Amino acid sequence: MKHARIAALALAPLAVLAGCGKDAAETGPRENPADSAASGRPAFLLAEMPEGAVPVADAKKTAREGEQIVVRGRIGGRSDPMSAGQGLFVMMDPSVPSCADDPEDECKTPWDYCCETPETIMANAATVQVTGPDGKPLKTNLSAAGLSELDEVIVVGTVGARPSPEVLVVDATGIHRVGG
Amino acid sequence: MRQLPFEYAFRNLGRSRSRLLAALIGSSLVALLALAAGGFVRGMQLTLTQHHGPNENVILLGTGSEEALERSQIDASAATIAAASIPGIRERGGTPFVSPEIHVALPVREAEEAEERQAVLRGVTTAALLVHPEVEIVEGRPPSAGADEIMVGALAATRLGLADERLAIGRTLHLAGRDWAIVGRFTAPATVMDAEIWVPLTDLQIATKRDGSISCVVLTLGDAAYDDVELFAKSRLDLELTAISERDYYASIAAFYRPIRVMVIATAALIGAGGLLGGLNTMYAAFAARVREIGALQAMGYTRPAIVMSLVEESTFAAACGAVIACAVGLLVLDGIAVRFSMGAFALTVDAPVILAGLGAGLIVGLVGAIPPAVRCLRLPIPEALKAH
Repeated sequence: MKHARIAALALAPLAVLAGCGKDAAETGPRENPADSAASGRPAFLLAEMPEGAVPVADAKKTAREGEQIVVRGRIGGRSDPMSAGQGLFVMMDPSVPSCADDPEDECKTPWDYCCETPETIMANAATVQVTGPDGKPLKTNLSAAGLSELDEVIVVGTVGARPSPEVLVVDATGIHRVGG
Repeated sequence: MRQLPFEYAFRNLGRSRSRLLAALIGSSLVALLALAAGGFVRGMQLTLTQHHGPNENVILLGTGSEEALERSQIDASAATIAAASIPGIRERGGTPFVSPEIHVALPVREAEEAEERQAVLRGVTTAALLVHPEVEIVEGRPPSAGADEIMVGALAATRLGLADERLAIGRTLHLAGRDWAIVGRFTAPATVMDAEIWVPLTDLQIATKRDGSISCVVLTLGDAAYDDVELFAKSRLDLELTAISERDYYASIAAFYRPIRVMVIATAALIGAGGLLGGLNTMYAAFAARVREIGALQAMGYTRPAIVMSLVEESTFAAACGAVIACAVGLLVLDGIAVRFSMGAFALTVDAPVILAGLGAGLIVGLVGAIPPAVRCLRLPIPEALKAH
């Protein structure tokens, strides 16, 4: 009996720690497991290709804050276009060639579009965030969801704040990966 | 197994003072070499990885400049936009911990006609002292904008290759075509800032002809997380910003200098091996003179392992004493010596891990240096050993 009490006292802190231990990076809203449990695919990934997509460059010229939008682009435009810990990425207009489109280019990060001028990148880039109920990006890993740099995607969502014409942020409700 | 008492090994140390001295000097030199190499590597590593910064800082810099802040150029308005747009940045009395900065290497001179020396300058506002609490002003005051004033770090003189008193309060340095008065001195131990010269931001903008641009914005997280800063950087594509934590930035710089640290350790190991071989030589001579004594011990019934253990005890004890002397010298003489390198300067750091390495090196000399000569002396049969001269 005495040994059982001692063992219980020794193990109690472990039980408390197991229940309380939470990585600070995981305190944001997470993807709902129930949404993806049925198909094994994250809820924001769309199997069907949405219609009526406009390329990024055209969207930047006409999109207004708050309106619904379907925009087509290619993940890239930065050396790290995809965030590791949240549903956030930068994409470029599909008509702008990346360094990977040049067979002679041996760039190790072709998705940074370093072959293009900064002005070209700025005019043809947009930001996509997969938001949760609080309006902040979901704490999710887009790479684990099957997206990678230079993937062509179609994003369905709402245009976010546009403090300047060069800024286009899409609060995405759905993302379709073209060709996969 | 019948062991020889430890007092036997201890008393034997005093039989030949010259050999004892040789053993002490040999092991202390090897230990001192390990301390110097370890202090160099440790000092460089601590400075570049900013271990002493208590704040969780994130740097906003220009895209494509993640490897060198000196190459980064962003709009000066990024600081105020970031302060207004990112919720949860630490603040005190309504002042956000957001520091717009310019990082640049410029030639400076003691006087207009003097030799040029490369200095690392940081253009700052008063917010820099909030964001970098490891910076402590030890003399004078921060420089005022528009008054051609500067503040120098504790190792700035080392970086410039000047005597420390040359950068005393009231002295001047010549840069950007005019003299600037030194009005303050600061310390920021184990950080690259310790070797910098701080200039008011607007003055450095004018001096470097950076119309409305800065190198970076350093901000301190309060309730905000790194993800919030990254969201800002990736959303405001018009500002062309990248977010990187200060620790990760300096860790990448430290990785760049890793080959140098490896080279220093390899060189120290090679020289240490030379010291070890010298110690072996000394031991061979010492034990060769005691062949008859060793033969007599065997005749008395002590086994070879017991005699080897006693000889090793003797050697290791002498080496340990030498290593302790070296550690004392290392702490008094080596610790804090400033070394200049491309990013600024750093101080040799002789702390616990380095002292452990020094002691370990000395003990290895004693241990390894005794075994081969001891084994060799025991190869002779007892009758031949007793007849040896």
